[in-house]
Amino acid sequence: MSETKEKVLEVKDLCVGFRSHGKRMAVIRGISLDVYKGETLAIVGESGSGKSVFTKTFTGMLDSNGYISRGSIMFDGMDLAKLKTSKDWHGIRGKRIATIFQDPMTSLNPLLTIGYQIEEVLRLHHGLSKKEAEEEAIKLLRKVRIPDPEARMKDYPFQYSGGMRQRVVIAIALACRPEILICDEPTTALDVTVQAQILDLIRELQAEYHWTTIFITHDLGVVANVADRIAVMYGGQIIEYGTAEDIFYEPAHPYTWALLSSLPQLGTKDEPLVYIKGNPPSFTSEIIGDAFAIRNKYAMKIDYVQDPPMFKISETHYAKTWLLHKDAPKVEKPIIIQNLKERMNKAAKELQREIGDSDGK
Amino acid sequence: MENSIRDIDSAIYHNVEDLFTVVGESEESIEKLSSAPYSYWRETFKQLFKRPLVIVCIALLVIILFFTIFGPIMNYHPIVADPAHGVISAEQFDANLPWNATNWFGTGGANMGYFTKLDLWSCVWVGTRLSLVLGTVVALIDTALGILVGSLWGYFRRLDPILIELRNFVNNVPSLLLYFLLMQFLKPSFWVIVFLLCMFGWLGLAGFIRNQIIIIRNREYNIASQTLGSSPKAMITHNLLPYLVSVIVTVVSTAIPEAISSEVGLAFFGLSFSPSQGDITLGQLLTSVTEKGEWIDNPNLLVIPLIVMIPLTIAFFYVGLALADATDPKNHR
Amino acid sequence: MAVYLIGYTLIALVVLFVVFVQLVYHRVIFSNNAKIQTIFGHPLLIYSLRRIGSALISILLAIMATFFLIRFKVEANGGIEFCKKIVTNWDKMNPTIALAQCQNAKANLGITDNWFVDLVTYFYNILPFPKTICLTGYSEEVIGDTVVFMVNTSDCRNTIMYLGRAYFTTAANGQFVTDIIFSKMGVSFKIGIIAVIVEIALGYPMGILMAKHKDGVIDKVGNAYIISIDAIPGVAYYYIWMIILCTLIGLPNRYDVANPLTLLAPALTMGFTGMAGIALWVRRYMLDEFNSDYVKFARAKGLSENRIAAVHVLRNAIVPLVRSIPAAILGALLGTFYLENIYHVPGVGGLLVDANNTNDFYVLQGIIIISALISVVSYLLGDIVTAIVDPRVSFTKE
Repeated sequence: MSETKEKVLEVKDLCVGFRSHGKRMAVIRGISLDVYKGETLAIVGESGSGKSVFTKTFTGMLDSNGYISRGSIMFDGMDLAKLKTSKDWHGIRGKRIATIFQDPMTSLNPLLTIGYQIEEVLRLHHGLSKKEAEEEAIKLLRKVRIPDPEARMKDYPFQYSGGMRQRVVIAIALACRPEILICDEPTTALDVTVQAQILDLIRELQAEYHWTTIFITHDLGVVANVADRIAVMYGGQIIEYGTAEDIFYEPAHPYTWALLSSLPQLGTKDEPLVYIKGNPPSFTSEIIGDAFAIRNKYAMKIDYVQDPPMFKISETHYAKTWLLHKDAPKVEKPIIIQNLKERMNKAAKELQREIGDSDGK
Repeated sequence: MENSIRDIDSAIYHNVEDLFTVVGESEESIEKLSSAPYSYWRETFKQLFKRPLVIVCIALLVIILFFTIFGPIMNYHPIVADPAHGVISAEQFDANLPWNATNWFGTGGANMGYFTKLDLWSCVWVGTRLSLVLGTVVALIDTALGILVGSLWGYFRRLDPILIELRNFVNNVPSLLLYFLLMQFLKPSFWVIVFLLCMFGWLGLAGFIRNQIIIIRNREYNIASQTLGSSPKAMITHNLLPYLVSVIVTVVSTAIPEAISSEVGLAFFGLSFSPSQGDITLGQLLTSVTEKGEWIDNPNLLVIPLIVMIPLTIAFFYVGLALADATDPKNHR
Repeated sequence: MAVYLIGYTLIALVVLFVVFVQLVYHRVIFSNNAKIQTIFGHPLLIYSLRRIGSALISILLAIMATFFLIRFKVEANGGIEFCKKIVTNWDKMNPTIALAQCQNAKANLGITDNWFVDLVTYFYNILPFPKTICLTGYSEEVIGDTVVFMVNTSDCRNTIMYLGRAYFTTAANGQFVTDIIFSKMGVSFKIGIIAVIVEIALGYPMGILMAKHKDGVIDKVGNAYIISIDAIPGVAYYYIWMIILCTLIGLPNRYDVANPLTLLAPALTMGFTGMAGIALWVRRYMLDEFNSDYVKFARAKGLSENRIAAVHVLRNAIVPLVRSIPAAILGALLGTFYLENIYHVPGVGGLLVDANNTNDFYVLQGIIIISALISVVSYLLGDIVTAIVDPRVSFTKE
């Protein structure tokens, strides 16, 4: 199905490095990925896998010591990897590609009114007058379901709850009708109930405005609910990507298996919790072979020698592991993965029941 | 993609089978943190001497120190006390001589407060020496007192009301006024000046140490250490002291120029040593040449002491700041 | 009489207010009345009051200390030394009359045999509310062959605060200490306010530029300047500026009432010094704010760096800085000790040195009290200004 879809973002062999204390380290190590119009793409990985850095390159927001060392990011005929100054980014960042961040508590300027912070964007990108901007801002607040928006325009962020602030942040991102919305762990800092509301809101608004959402998260549980396609990152590389079905039902990379097995929702009471031993690779030393090898139960000798290429599994599904090589032995997937489908259905039913219970009360 | 596979194939040509055997995770490297061996002090010195300016400043300090010790030996025209006139020279010179073979920095004016027609070379180096000694003594006392009171203050929060009140008092009342009032009752001598200069310096430092201790004590790793049952002694020696050592080194090196500056201020108002003691400090030298505008006729009198004083204080201060950065473990990687 | 009533009522009201606020804050009264709780139980109010209270305690301590120090000095050597200074022609006078004159002069300074009464009287005198102060004047009359010393209470004056009289300071002649200090403040303030304007006008842009170009050339030069000012002894530094401003540029180096240009050299020197401190803090706070999440989000919104710096970062970085502005302006009243002496400015700083050289304790004490009062008022104004700039302070109860 992806063949028919229009590409909105085309990343080719992207490498990002950081300078720190006179050393250079490679944080993104050759990523190629296409993003299609209107889809919801989730980028999943542990903290330190480089997922935030990767998406920051789409808006030119790398920290000052970071730089793109190779590769291209094509967006509407432009190569975003070549843009340097904030002038170059004018009209793209915030207007066509918007970002919302993890922590709604601190994303808003504490000393400016909510109204001002929304109007600011409208006036900058659409050249509205103060009055027009005010009317539009009220509309936006209503859109993200802030009650009594006229009165609350004059409030300061500290007078809003966490969920409400995240709604305001969404309203600001929405203000410019972006083509791509990057959500960097948008719900991590929120309560579980508020999380669900915010995810619903993003989904509804996406249906209405047809933008492309790129979700960054470490939480596969969130991903399962919202994503069309999933890309799994490890050690600055995408190690597996495919549709949500591909990743959840036919995972091919041992790291994805490990991630899925460690989802607490999928375990049963008598099984011990599964975890991945060790830490993600640090970028200070050069990585030889597969970055995941030292933590990988299924690692082969070759994993310690040579970085695997991306193997194609289906039209939509790719994975970067030597296990897919024709000479590799067939290995047993972890038990949880084998009957993942049933477990997921069960978990979904339980969730349904809980929600039903709480609704009933 | 195709390329890379071919490369491997050729590289591993001999035993393909073996390469594709599952060997599992690498137990020894799995929990290993990839970092080189680390020594706190080596890293500190590396950080410190990475800055060329630090080396320049240390060189300057060494040169000035050299002259304060050997300058008077090279060419000394003795300074003696005269109760009637203040500090005078044992020999007679003409006033305001430019630099020459006998008086390497020239001589002073006819009537300049503490010193009259003195050999400037001798005065500058003797004065710098006394200022340095004074500064060091004051810095050491300040630091010792500050750390002692500060750590007590940090651990016994009951001291808060007294010490905070004392700090408010010092902040609310200009210290110069208190010096004036006190000097109505005290006769200036080395230790009285030390007392005046030490009076408030330690309080600021104590407050700083107190805050640091509270911050450090509440850091997660210390709470963790405490929860895991570390003894208080181990906590202090392993967790607190290394941090404090860097604070102490830094504070001493900035306290010296501060004390030198304060002495200059005291001398300006005639609160430093009394001239009849035959001592001269940088502060008195500066006051003497400026008091009656003598320097306008002979700028050497002002410029030469400034040329010694400014590099001395800036070098100390800069090294202190650099030490503060270098000793902070956060800057080590 | 009416003046007294107003004064006492005011003091009573202030005391009642403080007690009321404390009671409300600790929820002893009106614990259920939300409106009164938010207004009078406001943490900022309590915080301000506490700070002022602690400052008042400092002042009290300073006053007590100076009171006893002066007392000690006056009574030294049986008080004769002091009498010699205070009574002109002491040696040539009839000892009885001279002693009577001395007693009288001491009484005018608030020194009697009972120190406790004196202390209470002193506190009464310096409490800032309207009061009448009467001083005993005297005259010498010849009755028959002997010179008789007549005491007559004639010189009464309404004043708000009585800090004693100045006898020894140059050209003082028994003037009220408050009068002398206030007249000198005018001169100090002229220089001080120019300096404050210079340091704000230069210090803020300097700090902003340094923060925007962190680790760049501007930042390095600025840091070098800040370090120099911290390190070089103030007096030495002032002479460097004197060489630059007066010797090289040619500004006048001696104060002259008639020539406003003479204000420039000391004011600029003071401004150039103060600007380093301001730049240091502006830079530090700006950098803190630059690292915050809302700046990251503002960038993601597509705002230009200049707009982020001006509207978002500066606005927030200023909040902790404005608190010190009232203190800077009011501090200008006190002048600077060093510069006023270097440039021969007849301001408070010069008065201080004069009073010290001539042992005029009451002037010294007066300056201590007034500068302490100024710092109390600065605290209060600083808190108010902060509340105006920071909506969080005036809204939240935490």
